[in-house]
This record gives sequence, structure tokens and C-alpha cells, in this order.
Amino acid sequence: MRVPMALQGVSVVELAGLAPGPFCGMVLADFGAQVVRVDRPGTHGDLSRMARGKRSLAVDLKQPRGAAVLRSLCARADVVLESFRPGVMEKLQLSPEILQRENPKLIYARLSGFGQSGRFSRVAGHDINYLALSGVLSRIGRSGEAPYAPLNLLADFGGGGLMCALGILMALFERTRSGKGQVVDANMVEGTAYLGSFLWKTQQTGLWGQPRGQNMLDGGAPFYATYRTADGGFMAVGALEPQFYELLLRGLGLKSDELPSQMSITDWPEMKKKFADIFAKKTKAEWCQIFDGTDACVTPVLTFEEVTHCGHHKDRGSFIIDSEQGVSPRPAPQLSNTPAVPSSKRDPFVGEHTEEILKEFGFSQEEISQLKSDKIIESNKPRANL
Amino acid sequence: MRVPMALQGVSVVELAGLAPGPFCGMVLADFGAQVVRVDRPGTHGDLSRMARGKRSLAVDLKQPRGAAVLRSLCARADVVLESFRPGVMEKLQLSPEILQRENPKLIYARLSGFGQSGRFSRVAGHDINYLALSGVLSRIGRSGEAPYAPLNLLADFGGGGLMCALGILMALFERTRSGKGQVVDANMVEGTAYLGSFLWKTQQTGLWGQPRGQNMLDGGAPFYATYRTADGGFMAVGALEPQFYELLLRALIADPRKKLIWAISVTMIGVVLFDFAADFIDGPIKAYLFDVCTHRDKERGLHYHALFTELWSRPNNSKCFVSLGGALGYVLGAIDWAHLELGRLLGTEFQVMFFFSSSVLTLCFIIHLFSIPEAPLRDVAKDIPPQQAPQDLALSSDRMYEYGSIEKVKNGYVHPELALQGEKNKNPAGQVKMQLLFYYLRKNILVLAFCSDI
Repeated sequence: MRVPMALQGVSVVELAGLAPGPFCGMVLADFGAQVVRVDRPGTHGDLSRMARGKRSLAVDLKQPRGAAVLRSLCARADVVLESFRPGVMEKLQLSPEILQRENPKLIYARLSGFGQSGRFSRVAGHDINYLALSGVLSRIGRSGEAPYAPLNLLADFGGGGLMCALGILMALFERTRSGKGQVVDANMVEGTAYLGSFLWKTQQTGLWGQPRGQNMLDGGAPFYATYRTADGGFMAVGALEPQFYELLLRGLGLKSDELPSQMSITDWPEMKKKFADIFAKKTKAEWCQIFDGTDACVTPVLTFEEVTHCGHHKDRGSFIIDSEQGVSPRPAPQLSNTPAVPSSKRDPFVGEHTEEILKEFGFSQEEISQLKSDKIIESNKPRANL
Repeated sequence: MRVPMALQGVSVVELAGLAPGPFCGMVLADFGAQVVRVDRPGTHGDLSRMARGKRSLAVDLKQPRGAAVLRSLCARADVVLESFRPGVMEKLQLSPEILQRENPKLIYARLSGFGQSGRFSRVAGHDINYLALSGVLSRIGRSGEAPYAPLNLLADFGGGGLMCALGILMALFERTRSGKGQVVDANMVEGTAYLGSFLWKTQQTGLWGQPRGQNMLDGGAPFYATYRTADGGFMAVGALEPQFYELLLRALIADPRKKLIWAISVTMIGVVLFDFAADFIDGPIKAYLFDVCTHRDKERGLHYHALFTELWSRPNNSKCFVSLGGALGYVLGAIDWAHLELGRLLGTEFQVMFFFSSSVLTLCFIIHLFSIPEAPLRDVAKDIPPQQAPQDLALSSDRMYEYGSIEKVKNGYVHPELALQGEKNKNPAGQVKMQLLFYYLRKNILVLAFCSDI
């Protein structure tokens, strides 16, 4: 018998949206929750492709009867997760007050960009805007360049989807004590700022005394940077502690007494050039030979192809392959008794499970057929291939 | 009575470490857990300053009795959180097996860089190394530069401390069902990769078809980037959807069609206004010149000439001639130059608009000046009759030609001196007028050309 996962028995209704919401739902699904994604009929599903382990129900929420279908689902669900613009759920008559009146145990998770209130709350935006408004973006980027957003990882996922999942887990845990649900109001501006608390907390420590890009951790230090190798790859250097820095110099063939001290900020630009010249002389494999297994804090910057074949990852099974031969990271963290077993099935089509979900939630066949003929719901079950 | 927080009643023993562990402990403390940080005696506390809401206990774990103190704490705690190098807790006799034997409900959270197993597990590293090994770092950074680690936010915190906190919460929730604790094995390489699942999942969608730094979301697109402003600050642009991109363009670049309509309207209004003003300006000028120029000069069209050039003074004439004409030319030139400078300040669209409007205005001015009023603009009653021109004996007997030369010109009178010069000077006034018109137009175009640095 398979061990039940941590979130076994938790049912989640996720209203389809862009990347942050689907990632949050995927984390919950990976750890065993039953996640139903509610799609709008005629749409093409999750463009961010994070529908692992979910089922799809297609219903037109703009119709009163469609909203009523969702209310029935939420009456029996544990979590509803929406990432619409603030005010949209209220307009659809699906506000927290309404849904939690029918189901006081419901955890209502709202994942927005700028928050449910405030002067920016009704304005459109994306990761880079939330990151910008949080203050964190102003600290990221090389000296002399404009600030650089690291893809959409910090606000959409770190401060967004993951932070929201944490909030949902806290509410689930709290509910075991109080018996009541609550509203989890996650917004990406505050989530990203909270994720970056370290930056605020260390303002007085001298860690950030230089302009952007010239500090130890933001690209200023030669011993915390990446360097190109002879074959066009890159190595990452993170030798902060003096003893590790010594090992780094040794691996590079340098003597510390011939060089300026590690923390001599004025010498950093020159040291960066020196390190760059040395790294450029050997290939990535040669550097790995020199530094692997040492405490010099030098590791290769693995590409996606290399990551799949890397020995360390193979040892641990860090990456999984799904039914469509796509590689993706396995869920983290590892739980010893109730490990996450992510679904290996393909992502669902829009409306693929409409009928079966409605039946599970207590709708009769006549009701389902009526809703289908009135175009309130849509069912796109693929024909079986024999 | 204050409302209990979500993690009220949860006790956490956090073994002091670098940033990831303290951040995880701070999140738990922020939401109500009782967090005790176990420090090594003689150390300086949390360098990452994330000890909000925690209390500190100093004990030497290397001593067997110190380890026993910790075991007693863990016998009653809900969560123990350690971020040492794999193997250290085992060496201190504080492994999961030992602690969970005494307390099966204990949730044992382990936050490491590379994981508890694998060939990198015993090796030192920092955020940038975990980020590098996860594969995610290879995707971050501008085109043509080396990959850039966004401070230590992604591995230390996103895929590290926060991911570990999530695991602890999952274990706490699961324990309410099973009654048992478990080991939460969080490592920053896998946590960061999991955080970046989107990158793997969208590999086939064409979102990452270009080299690093040239895709839509990693710095390649002009509509997903930051830009420096005039005062050295920065604005962030994230207009992905077509309708939002439209709004961006509309704010940055004005609609050229609107500019054209506005340019034409301004030109037309300017022409009308100038025309109106010209009636007040050049009427008196011409009247004055009429008076000042002798009949002889007028016959030869020199009154036109006088408008634009210096007049020479006649030695036997008491009146001084004024170099009005030169001034007029300069005034026109000044107006045109002002148009050009303004256009340079305001932008190319305005330059084009001003070029056309100033040309049109110049043309109007010239045409206006060349248009002759039917009679000089003066009050006839107050007139002093013009003096007889003593040298024009042929004319002095004919009263018809006493007042100005308009009638003479209209009647085709030609001075005998000029008549000797032949047919081609039949209408010297008109010819002078045409010559001056073309001369002045040419000069003005050169002025415009000079000013606009063509």
C-alpha cells in the first residue's frame, strides 16, 4: 500500500491564472492534494505548463449558474486559490464572505500582484513590476548597468506562488486547531520583500556599503562571481570565508602573499580581471577536476542539459522525467515518511475532467447534461485510443 | 485577548547557522512559533540579523553533556532545525534516529546546500554554488556577460529557508493526522531547481528559444526590462500582453497622426494671425516710404527696393532715409531661426512642422509686402501737398501726377530716361518687384538651410 502523502485528502479548487497560481497549485498537488483547476471554456490551459497532477473543469463563471457550480465545489473543498485582479471574485459573487458563509472551513487563498488594497491594486503588472515595487530589484544588477530582474523567479515564484503555498499550509495547520478556515492574502510585492528580509536586516552591517554591483554578494567581489572557461562554459565561485578563499587561490595557482587581501575592495576590479584570465585558460571539465571535492567553493554552472547528466543529481534522483519525456526538478523538500510523489501523467486538457469532478461533488447526470447543453460547462474528454 | 497566531504552541529548536537557517526560523517565529536558537558559547550571534522573535541558549554541543542538554530540549520540542554540514549532527550523537527515538513526534528539519547524500554533500559552498549546480544560474544574466547570481536570494532564501519552512509546515500538518514526526531534508540545490520548475516546464514552448539574455523574460525584450531616467533612477517595464504594450507605446511615443493635424492647424492659425498683424504693420511702413521716396524712385520701383535694402541719402534732400528693409529681412530671419531652435528643443516632429509653418509665414509676409494698397494710408485732409519736383519739368505742369505715382504707373507712364533703355524695361516697377521677390525667397531659404545645419 502506498504511503499517503502529506496533503492527502486536501481538496483544492484552483482558478486558472498565470504562472504564480499554477505553481502554488502544483506544489500542493505534488504533495498529495487533490487539485482541480477551473478553466474558462475555450481557453488553452496552463501556458506555464505547471498542471502536474491536476484535473481540469471548464465552467463559465460569468454566467450566474456557472458561479453557482463553483460555489457548490467550494462548499466541499478545503482550499480555493484565485489569482485574479482584486475585485473580480467580488464581481462574480464569489467573494470570501459568500464562499466562507457556506463553508466556514474553507481556506480562501488570494494571490495578487500588488495586494487586495492600495493604490496599485487594480493595476496590471508582472514579476518585474512587483520586484521593482518591493525595493529588491534596485539591489540586483551589475555596476554601471540598469537593474536586472532574474527572469520571473523572485516575485512570481519565490515571493508569490511559494509564499502563498506556505500561507495555505499555515492556514491548514491552524484549522486543525480552530476548525475554521481563513483568507490567505498573498501578494507578490510584499512576498518578495519578505523573502529578501536579509537585505533590510543587514543594512547596518556594512555588507552593502558600496553602490549596486560593487558589494560582496551582488557582483563586486572577485570571489563571489562566475567566470568563463576556455570552452565557453562557466564556473561559479563562492569562497567567502578566508580558509575557503585560500583553497580557491591554491586551485588557481596563485599565492595569497603576492596578492592584495581578500577584503580589499579597491583591488576587487583588478582581481576580477586576474581571475577571469586564469579561468579562461582551462576548460570547464579541467576546472571541475581541480576543484571537485575541495572546500574552495567552486562549482560548475550547469546548463539544463548538463544537469540531467550530472553525477550528483543522478546519485540523488534530483530530476524526474514525465510521460512526455520532459525533464523537471522533483519536489522539494524531501519528507522521510510521506514523500511527495509527483504525477507522471501529462497535463490535463481544458475541461478534460469536468463530468467526473462534478459527479464527485454531488451533481447528478441530468444536472450535468443540462449545464452542458446550456454552455455553462464544457467537457473535452479525449477519445480513448484503442 | 490577543488572537493566537497560526503556529502558536509550536516549539522550535534552531541550531545557529548562516542565513538560510535563521531565515527559516524567523518565518516560524513571525507566525507564532516559540523559537530557541542554540548558539555556541563565545560566538557573536546571527550575522544575518534574522533573529526576530527568538531567544538564545548558549551550549557547547561538542561536549557530551552539552549534547545531552540538547537532547532534553528536543525531547519536548516540536521541531529541530539544523543547517550544519551533513554528518556533523551524526558526529555529535544528535542524528534523527537518536532524537526521534526519544521523541517520535519530533520534526527534524535539515537544511543543507547540496543535500544529505551525493558526491557534493560534504563539500563547502554558498548560494552561488547551489544556484550553479541547480541549473538555474545558467539561465540568468545579460547576453554577452557571465551568468549573474541575484545576490543570495534564490538559493539561500527562496529554494533554501522558505522551502524548508514549507516542508516543516507540511510535516506539522501531516503530524496532526498521523501523530508522528519525520525528517524534512531540504537542500538548496534541489529547492532552487524546484522553485524554478517553470523554466523546465516551458522548455518546449518557445519561451527560451534564444541564447541567455535574449529571450522575453531574461532581458532580451524591450518591454520587459528596466530603464534609466533623467535623474538617475530606474523604471521597470513589464508590458507583456498586446493591450498593455499598446498603452506603453502610447505613453512613450505620441501618435504621429495627431501631430500632423496639430501642425497643420497651428500653421493655419499662424498664417491668419500674421496676415492680420501684417495689415497693421506694413501699411504705415509703406505709407512712410511712399512719402519719403521721390516720384522718380517710385517710377523705377525703388520704393519696393527700399523695403528691403538701405536707401541712400540724397545730399540735397533734408530727409534721411532709413534702412528699414535690412531690418525687415533680419526680423524674418530671426523668426525663422526661433522656429528652428524651438523645434530642436521639442523634437523632430516639431522641427518639420515649424519648417513648414515658418516657410508659409515668410511667404505670406513677402506677398503682403508686395501687395500695393490702392492709395497711401493717410488722412488726405491733413496732407501737405507734395512739393513740385523741380527737375521733372515735364511732369510739373500736369496736375494729375502730383499725388504719388500710382496713377502714372497704372497709366503706363514711363520716364523718358528709362524709355531709352528699350522695350525690355517696359514695366520696371513690376520687374524690380519680381526680382526682389525671388531674391528674397532665395535668401530666406538659405537662411533656413544655414540655421538648420542641413
